[in-house]
Amino acid sequence: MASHEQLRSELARRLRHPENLGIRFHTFRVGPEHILAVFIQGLAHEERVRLWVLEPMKHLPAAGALESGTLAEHFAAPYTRTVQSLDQAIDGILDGDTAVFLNGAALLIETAVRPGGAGPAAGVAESFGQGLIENVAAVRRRLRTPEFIAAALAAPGETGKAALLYVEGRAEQQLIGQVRSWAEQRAGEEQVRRGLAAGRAARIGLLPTLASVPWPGKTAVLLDAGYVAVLVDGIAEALVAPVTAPMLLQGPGDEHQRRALAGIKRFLRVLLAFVVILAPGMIVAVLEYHQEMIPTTFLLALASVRETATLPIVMVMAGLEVLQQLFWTVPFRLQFNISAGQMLITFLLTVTFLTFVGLTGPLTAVSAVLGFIGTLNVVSYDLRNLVQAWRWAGLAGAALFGLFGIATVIFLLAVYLTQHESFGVPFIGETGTRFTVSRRSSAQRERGNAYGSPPSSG
Amino acid sequence: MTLLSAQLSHPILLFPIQTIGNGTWIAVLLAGLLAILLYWPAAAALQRLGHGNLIDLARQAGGAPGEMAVALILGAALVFDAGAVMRETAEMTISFAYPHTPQTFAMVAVTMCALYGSSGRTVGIIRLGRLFLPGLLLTVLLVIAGSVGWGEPRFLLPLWGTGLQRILGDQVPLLSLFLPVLFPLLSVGEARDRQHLVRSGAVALGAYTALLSATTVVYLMAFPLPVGGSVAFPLHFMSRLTIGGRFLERLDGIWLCIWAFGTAIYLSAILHMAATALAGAFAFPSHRVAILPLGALAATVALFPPDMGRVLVDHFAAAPLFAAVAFGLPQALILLARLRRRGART
Amino acid sequence: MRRRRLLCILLLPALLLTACWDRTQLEDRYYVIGLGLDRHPSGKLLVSAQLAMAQLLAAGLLRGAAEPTESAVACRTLSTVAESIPQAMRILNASLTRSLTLKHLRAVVIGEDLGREGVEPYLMELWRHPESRGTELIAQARNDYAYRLLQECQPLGEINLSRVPEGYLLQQKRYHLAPPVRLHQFMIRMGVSGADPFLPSTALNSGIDRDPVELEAELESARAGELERVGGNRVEFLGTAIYRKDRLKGFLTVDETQLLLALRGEMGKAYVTFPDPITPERKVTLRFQQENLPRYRASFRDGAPHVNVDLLFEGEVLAVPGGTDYVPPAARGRLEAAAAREAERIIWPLLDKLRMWEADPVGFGLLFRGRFRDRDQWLAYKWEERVKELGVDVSVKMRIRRYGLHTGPDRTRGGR
Repeated sequence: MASHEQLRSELARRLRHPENLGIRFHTFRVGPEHILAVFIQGLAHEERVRLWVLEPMKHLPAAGALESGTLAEHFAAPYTRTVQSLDQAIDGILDGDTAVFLNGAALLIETAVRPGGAGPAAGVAESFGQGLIENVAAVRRRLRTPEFIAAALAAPGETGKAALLYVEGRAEQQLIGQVRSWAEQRAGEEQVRRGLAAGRAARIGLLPTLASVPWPGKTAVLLDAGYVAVLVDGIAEALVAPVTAPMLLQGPGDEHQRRALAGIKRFLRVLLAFVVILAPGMIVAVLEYHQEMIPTTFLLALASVRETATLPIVMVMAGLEVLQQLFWTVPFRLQFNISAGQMLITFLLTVTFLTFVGLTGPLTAVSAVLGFIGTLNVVSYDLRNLVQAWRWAGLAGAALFGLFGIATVIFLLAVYLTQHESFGVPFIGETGTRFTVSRRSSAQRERGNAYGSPPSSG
Repeated sequence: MTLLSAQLSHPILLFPIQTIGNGTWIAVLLAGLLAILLYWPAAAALQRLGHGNLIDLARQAGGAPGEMAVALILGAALVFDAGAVMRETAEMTISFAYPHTPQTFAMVAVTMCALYGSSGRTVGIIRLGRLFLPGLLLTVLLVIAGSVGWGEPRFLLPLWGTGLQRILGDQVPLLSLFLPVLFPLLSVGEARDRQHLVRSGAVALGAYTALLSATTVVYLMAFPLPVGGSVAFPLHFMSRLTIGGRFLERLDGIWLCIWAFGTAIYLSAILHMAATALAGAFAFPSHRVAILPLGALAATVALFPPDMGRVLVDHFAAAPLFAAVAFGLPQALILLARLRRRGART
Repeated sequence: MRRRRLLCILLLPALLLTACWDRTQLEDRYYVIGLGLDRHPSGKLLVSAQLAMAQLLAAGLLRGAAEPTESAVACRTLSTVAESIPQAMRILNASLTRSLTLKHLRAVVIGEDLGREGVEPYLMELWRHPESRGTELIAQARNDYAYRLLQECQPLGEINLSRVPEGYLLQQKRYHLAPPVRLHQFMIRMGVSGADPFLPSTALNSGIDRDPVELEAELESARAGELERVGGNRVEFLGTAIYRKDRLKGFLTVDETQLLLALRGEMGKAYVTFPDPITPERKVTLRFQQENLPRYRASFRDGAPHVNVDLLFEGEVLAVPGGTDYVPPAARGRLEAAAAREAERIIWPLLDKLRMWEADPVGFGLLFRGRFRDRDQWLAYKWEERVKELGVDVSVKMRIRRYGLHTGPDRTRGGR
């Protein structure tokens, strides 16, 4: 291998150091020579690095006494292996090992962090933590390529509080620049600096400027497809740009599915989103304007139940919507630690009680419960907000003008979504309507199409 | 394709069926072929131009006055069509689903959608059309499939209807069914690549012709003459017959709303085309400046006829004008541009 | 920007304060399931509306009524005299607390008097009505008023009125005792040149309260109201009412109905009992099935239209009380010939009747349409006036394919 300086600069170039957060270079002098240790913070276990690598490095004998092949004997680590090339060393570093270079010899010492047992939810549904380095490492663990960059975002007077993540060669330079300047500008704002806001929504609109992604797995997949992410220290989510429909429909673990199945799942999510938006409006429209659509036998059964009803259907649906919103917001306000399942069961019991006392009917109750379950299953937090907001619009449209009113509301939403662009990338672009993945031969493009449309500024 | 297919729910077949009878589907096929033949040179000329759209071609043909004249003609024709379609949609909605609702309320809803949809960028309308096309085609195909069982193929006889002469004579008004062909010719200026202009337009025209022809055949089987000649909205009537067992019948309310959605896209595109043409010719800062005035004009046109019958008669009477604008105008511009270039060389 | 927002905020309440003109709650409507049209002695239209009483139905665990209060179909029939159907609806609404709607109209019954006078104006009103779709079942009352049939209709075991037309439709499709016809089909055939419409006929059977031993033994093919039976619904659907354009001409028996459907290629399956060719004092029962569509050959003979029809049936032997073994080819051939003769025995008088009525329910005229250059030429031919000159030759072939679950003769003793 080359001289120490050449080696160091080559490693720095390949690992994008110092631009890339978390890449650590430690150099010690051993006689006339220098010994270099390289590891990635967060991937490599801090304590093991200190005990098995850095401490022994401080006490190495003079370089002349070190012969190649005996380097390993001076490190107390249980597992070490000698590597022959820089590529192998870099692969090891990206795996969480520490690479030690001396006199043309390179050694990999196993120091990788094994993610702690978080139960069956760990893996594809593993969430981000609070620390920036930890979160960067979580993404890097899933995207082991030297082109992955986690660059510190500079804000006036602040350092090390946020990072911009992207994969060189996948994300467009223009996009990287736009997101960087937007994030740095936000990071400089008073509220963000004081930790009061994650800084997502820069303006009033149906969609945020950056989408919230709580899973490192999905974040890694999106970065590989050319998206750009921002991680903020203390916030357990990645903020990803641009915001596109395929990205919002991407669920955790989709990357591990076969393509056709992932495509079908995505299609079903679109249907689910439509059902969740349209269900209350459709019930009102059909029961109050288009009663001919109900099968006669069913209609007469509904009419017989409605004989004892006290409220018009639109008021019942509106009341159930308010109840749903209460169930979504009250636990968080009162800081109840309640799981989704518990919320659902409580909602079900409440609606059953209301049906029993005659305030709602069986059909409206079923619709409300299905809407609740559907909302729970919407994979993206931002999409869930959009869907919940448009349920009200659909309900209002239905109350005013039946199915025609719903069509008007959906048309207005569709126009907004098709016109909307995020950092120059359309929300529903060329691949936005594609529910199965492309079969192009190039691995890079294929991967991009598998997980969402590669953002382009056209 | 979306804009063409959205017309299926409009009363486009009423007068052809009254004049041509059972041969309407043959007339539609011939009109489609003619449309492709007339579209080809216009699209090829724009493709060769390398940049710009039909308005730019008009500038080449007649300079600034020519450009303005063409923009005004296009604007007038498109606004008239938009007004007629707005009125027809409102009437259809009221007649089929909301008999107690005032017509103006339906008009307001339709106009609101058209104004909002047309105020965005062309690419947004294209995305909207692409998003909606599968659903639109699916509903049309379902209705066609559901209506086939109601008809008898022998109702189509005699095949030539009122005669071959009538079939050939009514080709010009039938060309007005392909008015949306102006959309690619006007929006090509914003496209990233123009090389597919000819092919994509021809494929869309061909597919629409096949679909319209199939719809006409099934309609004439299920609603033979003389009844078939008095139905203003064929696709809606066919949708009322669609039965899928005891639990899937009388779903025409859903079809009505899906097709109203398609009509909203159609109106958005029409107003957008008119605004774009005028903005290009008269150097407006943006096409949005023209949207509200054109929308108001279209709404005025819509409210002008005193009754539904008059709406249909006036709309059909303007059919030769639409055909001339959609196909004659581009051909004339190509010829004039060629003559001008030849004159400049000599 | 602020002005635009202010404008939107001001306009929005205006929009919200309007609208909802067509909004009606389920419980604010009466759903007309059946409609009867008769000619009143005064000359006006007698309209009867059969309303579903939803409040009298149980609805699963959550009931509108604590107990179903009706042991019969939960409905009421209202009648009035008017110039038109919409006028009649308006008159009936005057005494009701909920508005009538035809959105769920399932069946229309036409009285015989009205049928013979001409039904087109009234059915056109219905067809044009925005709430009617043309998918309603339509039937012709025989020897009676439609309102009486609506009032007396109490199918066995039914409480939900909406089930009644559906149930009759299912029976008609399964057993072909009467052809299922919807309003749209009737209107189309009434208007088109080259075919005439027909309807299932329905009537009250006044003999269902007798003692079973009083039932007639010698049975001929029955029309609606003539079935020899005891108990059940007084209203029966049987046979066909033949129309010439919009006027009722006459009624067919159930056997004639099945062969009319066979001529149209719509017979499906029918159960036929006729004398055993080998043991004439006994009768065999076969299930006729029309597997193939009839083959038509239309021609002109001396200027008059002529049609040759080939009918092919497949048969399944269901009952041979005479004990003959019809499996061997020779015996089978005799049975096939006898079955074909039985079919022809009904077809020739049927065709004579149709000729007498100058009606073309089969649609023979449609076979000739394609022979004309264009529509004007066809209309000039005036098929409606030529139909009485129509000559029809029918050849019937029967192929026995199956013998039920037993392949031997109907006996439990002795060998073959």
